[in-house]
Amino acid sequence: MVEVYSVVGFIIGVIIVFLSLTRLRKQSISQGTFALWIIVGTVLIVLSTIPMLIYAIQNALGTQFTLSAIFGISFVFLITVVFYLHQKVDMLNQRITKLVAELGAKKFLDSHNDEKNSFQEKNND
Amino acid sequence: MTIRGIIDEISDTYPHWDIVVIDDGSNDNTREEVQKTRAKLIPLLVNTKGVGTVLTAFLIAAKGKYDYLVKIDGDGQQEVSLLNLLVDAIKTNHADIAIGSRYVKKQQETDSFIKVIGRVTSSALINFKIRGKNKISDCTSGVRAWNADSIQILNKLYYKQPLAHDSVFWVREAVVASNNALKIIEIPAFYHKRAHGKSKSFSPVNMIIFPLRLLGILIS
Repeated sequence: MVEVYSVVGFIIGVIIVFLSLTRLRKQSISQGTFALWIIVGTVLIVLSTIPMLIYAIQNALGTQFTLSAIFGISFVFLITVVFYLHQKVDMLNQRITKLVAELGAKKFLDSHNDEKNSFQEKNND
Repeated sequence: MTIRGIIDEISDTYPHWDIVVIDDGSNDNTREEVQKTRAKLIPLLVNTKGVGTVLTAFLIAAKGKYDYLVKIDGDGQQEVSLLNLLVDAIKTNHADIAIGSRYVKKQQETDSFIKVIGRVTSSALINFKIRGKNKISDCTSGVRAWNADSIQILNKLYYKQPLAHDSVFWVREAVVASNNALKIIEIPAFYHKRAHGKSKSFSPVNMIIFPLRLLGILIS
């Protein structure tokens, strides 16, 4: 008998693979993001179509229920993704701060140089 | 004292100094007030929570080849007369950085107990970290001055290294400056009670995370 969560997992996996491929073709995601989500989608499809694999993982983890094994794996995966994304956001935030500072300084130095030049021109006249 | 009052006082006291106000997303009438003075206003494109203002100031001072960079907060807590004393302290002591410290001379506290505890603890821990290189009693003070050498060195480092959070930015600077053989000197500074606005660095969340950020600086 086919479990409901296998069907749901299969559909979500197909959607993830489909969206990853279409977005990569439109060049709206990077190769790194594509690689991550194509792996996630493929793993979901494989686990949904071969339920024996989930039972093997359940035995390996020693959980009483299949759902607990799925929940545990999902939790670890999500924490890893959040950690990775947090690092990325932090890095981008730092880059933005440095860029904003550069723009601010450039604005001041440009106007300062313009003032100096106009002052020198006046003196020369 | 308002931002306009501070700028006018600096203009009168130091007529040959270039005054720059870096607006990091203030939501009051700072921009309108500054435009009525001789100070140059630099509105930052996004709110960088204070860190961008320091980077901008260092970039201007480094690329503009200024002899000194002097910083004062716009909340009217610090005396304008302190600015010249900071520059004099650098000159007379052959120092690279001068800090206006609330603890060189004992004064009545204007801040909450938790803030004071955080300040004193962080100064003690940083002194342990940089032992022998410099001695700092108020490493979170916002009024300070730098000479040309320290401007160039710190400007380069700020662009190479990850940036510290606003609440521990000056704490980290003390460590970075000490590790780069920059001499830090402190002079007594009196802080008035904040006339307007609220400190963004000491929100309840920051008070919990502050010790962890401090730990990060001590470990790094």
